[in-house]
Amino acid sequence: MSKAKTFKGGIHPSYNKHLSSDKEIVEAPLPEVVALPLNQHIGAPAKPIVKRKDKVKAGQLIAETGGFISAPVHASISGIVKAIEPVEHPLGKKVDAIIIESDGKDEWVEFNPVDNPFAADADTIRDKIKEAGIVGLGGATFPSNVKLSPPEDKKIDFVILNGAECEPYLTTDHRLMVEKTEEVVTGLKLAAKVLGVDKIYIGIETNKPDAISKMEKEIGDDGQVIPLQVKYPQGSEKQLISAITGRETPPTSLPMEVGAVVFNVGTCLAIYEAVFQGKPLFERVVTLTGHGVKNPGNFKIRLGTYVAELVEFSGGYKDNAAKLVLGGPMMGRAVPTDGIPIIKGTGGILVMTQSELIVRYYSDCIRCGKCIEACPNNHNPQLLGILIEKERFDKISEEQLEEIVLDDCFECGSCTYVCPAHRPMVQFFQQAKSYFNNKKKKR
Amino acid sequence: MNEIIIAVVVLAGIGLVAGILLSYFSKVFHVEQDPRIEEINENILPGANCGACGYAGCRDFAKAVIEAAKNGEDLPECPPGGPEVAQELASFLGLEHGGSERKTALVKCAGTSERANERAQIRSVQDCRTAALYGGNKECQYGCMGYGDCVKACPYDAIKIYQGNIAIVDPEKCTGCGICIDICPNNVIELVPSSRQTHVLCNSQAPTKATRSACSVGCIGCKLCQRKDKDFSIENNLAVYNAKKGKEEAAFSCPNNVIVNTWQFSVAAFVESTTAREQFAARKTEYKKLEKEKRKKAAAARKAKKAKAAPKKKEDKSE
Amino acid sequence: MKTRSFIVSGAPHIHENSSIHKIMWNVFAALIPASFVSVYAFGMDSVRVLGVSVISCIVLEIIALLFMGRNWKAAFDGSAAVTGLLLGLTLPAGISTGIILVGAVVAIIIAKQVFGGLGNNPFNPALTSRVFLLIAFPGPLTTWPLPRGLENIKDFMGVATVKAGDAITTATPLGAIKENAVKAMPSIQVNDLFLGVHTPGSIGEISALALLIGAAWLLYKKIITWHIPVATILTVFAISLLTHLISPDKYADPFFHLFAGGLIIGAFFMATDYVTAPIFNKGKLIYGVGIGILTIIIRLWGGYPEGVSFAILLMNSTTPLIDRFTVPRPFGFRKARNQS
Repeated sequence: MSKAKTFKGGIHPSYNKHLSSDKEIVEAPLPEVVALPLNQHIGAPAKPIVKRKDKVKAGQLIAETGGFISAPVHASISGIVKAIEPVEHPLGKKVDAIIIESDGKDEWVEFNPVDNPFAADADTIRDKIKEAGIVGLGGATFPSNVKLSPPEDKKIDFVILNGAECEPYLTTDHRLMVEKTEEVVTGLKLAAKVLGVDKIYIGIETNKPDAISKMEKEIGDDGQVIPLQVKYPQGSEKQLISAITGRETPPTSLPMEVGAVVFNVGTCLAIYEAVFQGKPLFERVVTLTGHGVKNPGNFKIRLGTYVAELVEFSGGYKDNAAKLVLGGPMMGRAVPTDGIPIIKGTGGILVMTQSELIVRYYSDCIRCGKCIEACPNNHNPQLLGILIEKERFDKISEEQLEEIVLDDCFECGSCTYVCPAHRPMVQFFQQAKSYFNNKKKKR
Repeated sequence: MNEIIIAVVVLAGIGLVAGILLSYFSKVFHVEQDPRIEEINENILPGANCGACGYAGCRDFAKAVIEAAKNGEDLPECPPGGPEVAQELASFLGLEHGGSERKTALVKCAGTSERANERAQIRSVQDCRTAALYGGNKECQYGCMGYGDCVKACPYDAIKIYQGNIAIVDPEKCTGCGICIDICPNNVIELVPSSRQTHVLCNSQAPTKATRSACSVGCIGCKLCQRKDKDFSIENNLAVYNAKKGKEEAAFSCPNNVIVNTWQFSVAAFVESTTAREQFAARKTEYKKLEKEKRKKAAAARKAKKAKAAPKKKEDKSE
Repeated sequence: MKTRSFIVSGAPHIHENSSIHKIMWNVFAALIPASFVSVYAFGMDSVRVLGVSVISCIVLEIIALLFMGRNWKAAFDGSAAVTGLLLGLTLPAGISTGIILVGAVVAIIIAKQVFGGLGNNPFNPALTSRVFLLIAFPGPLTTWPLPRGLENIKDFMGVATVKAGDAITTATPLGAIKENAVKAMPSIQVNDLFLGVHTPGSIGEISALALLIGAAWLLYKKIITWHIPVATILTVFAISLLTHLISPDKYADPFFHLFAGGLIIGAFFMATDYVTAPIFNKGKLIYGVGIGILTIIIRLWGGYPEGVSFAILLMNSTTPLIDRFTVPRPFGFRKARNQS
């Protein structure tokens, strides 16, 4: 085993993974009601094909794909469709969701797996994955079948399993790698086969030694486990590729450009389940953690389960719970209420306490340069932040910061994390991005 | 003494040489420019360089005006200057002027913090545009969030945030430049002709149920106003009014008091002051009472008519 | 199902817990050893100069912030205190309180708040003020009282001591060199310069050791990076070594140039001022080299015996330019250009 690899830049937040890293995955009880938003993925929202008062079974298709980059939605419990109405969505705005009331029977539709998947042809498997509604479960929620069908002129050299899980607190991928080693590795191998690639890398941060040893044993000679330095954002796609293969993905292009495809651990498991068992994506594992809940842990839940219901099952909030974050503390979104469904891209639920809230006023940039050191993309968050704060959007276009920097920034939050002036850089960038998006739309 | 003379001579020499060079180069590199540009820029335009016209300042606008006049196109509009400037420009260039009406901005929301339900307590945000990224602070996603991005953006100081976190435009100061409209993430500001006297103070395009649960002064698209005044129309669950002056009855018929007639109240008073609201409510009850009486009378009349007609019918049947 | 509401705010939801406050007070703490040495060497005079300078800077900052309608509590973020302390440390011990107050006004009001406060000043406030005082009050600013232990000497490095008022004053080592060239060299030991207790000079610049202890603290705390000080010092060392080898009679040896005068305090505490220094590492190296070259040029061939403050101020003005031309390559960027 060589020295742990990494990328340039990054930060070392306190990880707090101990809260849930030793907790085995527990299956949560059947929810009474689920809300399944129609866009749980990047791309066009799905189109509902059920009506109010329809009876559905778990696994039944209830909304079909709404475009090329889109994913279908399946019922996650059996019961009756109560309504199709807007609900709070983890991404902020309210969106339409299919609300299903459970009948308590938990009847599943019949699954039809692919026979002997490793011998089947690639298109069959792609179709199966598409049918199952699988999207990247790491949070980006990019439809997986699109990732598995690269344009013909792009040669794919590597398939990488992203087991870095660099977000503090989250332990979903860690537990899956330890508990579902075989399924994850099989799913990964299948993905590699579909892409016609024989080089498989598995990147795991060195703070998960049990996962490293288990995965090493399982993959054997078919692939290579690469230990990675514990650093945020090690699990970002482009940073991971550069750490493992040394290839830098150019700004505004997909990792396919440098011949690499990266899969999340949960996605590999979903691919395995979809192909070998025929089971569509209606369950996932989430980490419920933070100092604001009594019993942190890892739970297997039905999609669409309300956060409130899961927390209640786990043992409830502590009294000083003040902030609910879907995702990790660096890139997750704070949501105003726990009456919000868990969707495909939700990897973790973090409850923070009153004392963990950070200051909200900020001062002028003192040019300390810490953000520049922290930026994994080697950008200059300092200058961009000032320009956006002063609303010099014209200057941003003039200096071509819009294309190279702004589009390429994936809002990892490293700059904001280290800023001694507490400048909300990520907010600035989000604001600028929406400004330029609106401008493009208006044009 | 000698040194001083040398210094003076040297400096004067440098000045002379530089002067000659300057005058020479200004001839050589002379850029031909229409003198009317300066004339327009200095004498006709407001000179605020607000950029509302879409050009980089008044000078640029003046250039565009000359260009348009040369090509026989329509002159670009100067929103702050309004019709007067357009008229002046046209007469300066010897063109005919079509005439445009002065427009002012209107914030189509009256959902103060007491009237609209809070969705989330947002920290670490001081402006509307970022708040919008997090879904906004109000249950209603179409209304004014009241962080005042438009206030900061307004070059004429015409917008204020009133009590209860609602932006209100002062129509006297507003020049209709439209900068606030571009800034507002919820598109709650609209340019209306300043002669319009009836406004729908709501922007909610959400379905009835959602609007009702979010805000006590939201338009729920019930079409009652449309029944009283045909100038109202309902688009996307929202009443729209595009005529000059609506009927009083339409305002009174609105269950959530969304419609304001500026010939009764100013928009600011209607949004902000409770007395104006109470006054309005009192008039409304009076109107309703009258209406009820009228209806009663009408019903009675109908009944009487029916009573008159009924026996006849019976007779007819019996026969 | 009972729901509960939560506070919404932007990601990230955790913070390193660093703050301007912590950084500035750490810099302040790093200057404490040098301040102690100065109190040992110059006694209560040094306490007076430093105290007046720090307190007046903080008070002026409060006044300026109140005047501009900002939060006056920001005056206690430590930046004004550091400016005050740095200003005090660059002054001679015998300076009158009035001049210090003028210096504080120049530093806080003219060099800092007029430009928009912390983060927006193009020039280092403490140095701007010191240079202003040096030009406005050349006499008091170059009158160096004798430190403890040297009270009874007749001449320092060949420059006779002068009785000015009730204090005995003399030249700094650099001043002596300027006046007497290297003839003065044998009478001063580099050792003495390094420890600094037996050399006249500004309050803060006399002991290189104390300053280096503070600098080590800043480097350990990752408040400053090595780029600027190392580039500056190496440049000064290299050029002075070269000149010394060419003409040992005319030019002092490199170690003398390192430890005499304000090079150490300048390179570690003033050139590294975040606001006025370049932000990228490559730029920091260029900036450091520039300071080194200018310093040694002024020292060897300029009109003043010491040039660090001028050098830093001059390089401050090049910071925006340096920043513009040293933007690092964004991740994956060059490849994209080559391919297209």
